[in-house]
Amino acid sequence: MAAEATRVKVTYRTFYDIEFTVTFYVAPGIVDPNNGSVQAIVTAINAITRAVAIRIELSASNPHSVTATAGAIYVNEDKGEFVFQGPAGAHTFKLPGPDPSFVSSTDNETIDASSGAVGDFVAAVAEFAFDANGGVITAPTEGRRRAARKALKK
Amino acid sequence: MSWVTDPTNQLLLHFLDDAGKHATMSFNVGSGDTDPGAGGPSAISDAAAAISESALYETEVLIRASNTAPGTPTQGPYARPADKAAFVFSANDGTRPRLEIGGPNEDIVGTDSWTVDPTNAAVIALVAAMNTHATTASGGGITGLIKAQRRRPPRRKGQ
Repeated sequence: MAAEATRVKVTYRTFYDIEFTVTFYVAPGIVDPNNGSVQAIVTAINAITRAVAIRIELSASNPHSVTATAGAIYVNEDKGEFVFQGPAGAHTFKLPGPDPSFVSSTDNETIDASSGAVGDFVAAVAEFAFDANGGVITAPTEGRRRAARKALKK
Repeated sequence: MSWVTDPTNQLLLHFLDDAGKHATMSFNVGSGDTDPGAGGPSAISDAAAAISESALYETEVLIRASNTAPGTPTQGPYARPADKAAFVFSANDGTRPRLEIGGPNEDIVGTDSWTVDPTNAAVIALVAAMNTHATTASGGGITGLIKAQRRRPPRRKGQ
């Protein structure tokens, strides 16, 4: 179960077709938009406003107490890019700050995704992630490190 | 109202590197994956953390739904998003959570068109719903209404 309170964000549309959001929090573990507590608050808000509720978003969150590797070679602007194939096209996932031990020492770009910890990552994504419509995506056998952008000289 | 959930949920992995910069990875996961600490979200976040030198400091799952019968918004003197009824609540963790509702119905404000009427039935129902069902951001209980008033939108300067 999520450790943090669930954040609920409800989008409303006014008579003038302009939207706004109302945000509140409910107990951790509430993840169903049709939950009684969520709907009780939404119903009460509906009676206050002349707008109508059109979308709702619940956020369940788990914090982690971790620290980044000191003096890391690759920071968040460096990405490990993995291109998955789905029924509607390609999906690229960009991992920030890739561990240099998984990047080829020959070209400093190629990442072997066929085995080891990287293989575990692409396998987990292929098993549990989908495209936006729920279509299955297929894991690649390699990834590529894309370097951070360098500032342009004036 | 009838809320229909999206076919997939969104998994967000939040990273922080040694230089203090943030980055986020986004995935679409199954509609049954709602717990950021279990199932698919946990498997993906654990595997991503194992191959990154940045700190994965938060795993977040977003569950979305659309209202299939929202009804029709109505017109009124304050029916604009910039006009808000701002409610300030008390909580048992010492915080003062705020709830701001745009386009408020003019029936809830008093004769000064500014102060929200705490005896209005809809206001009473909102306070009761918040006390019973809502929490603060840190999970504390909401204990009552401190104040509520309408906020006017900013005026345009004369041209």
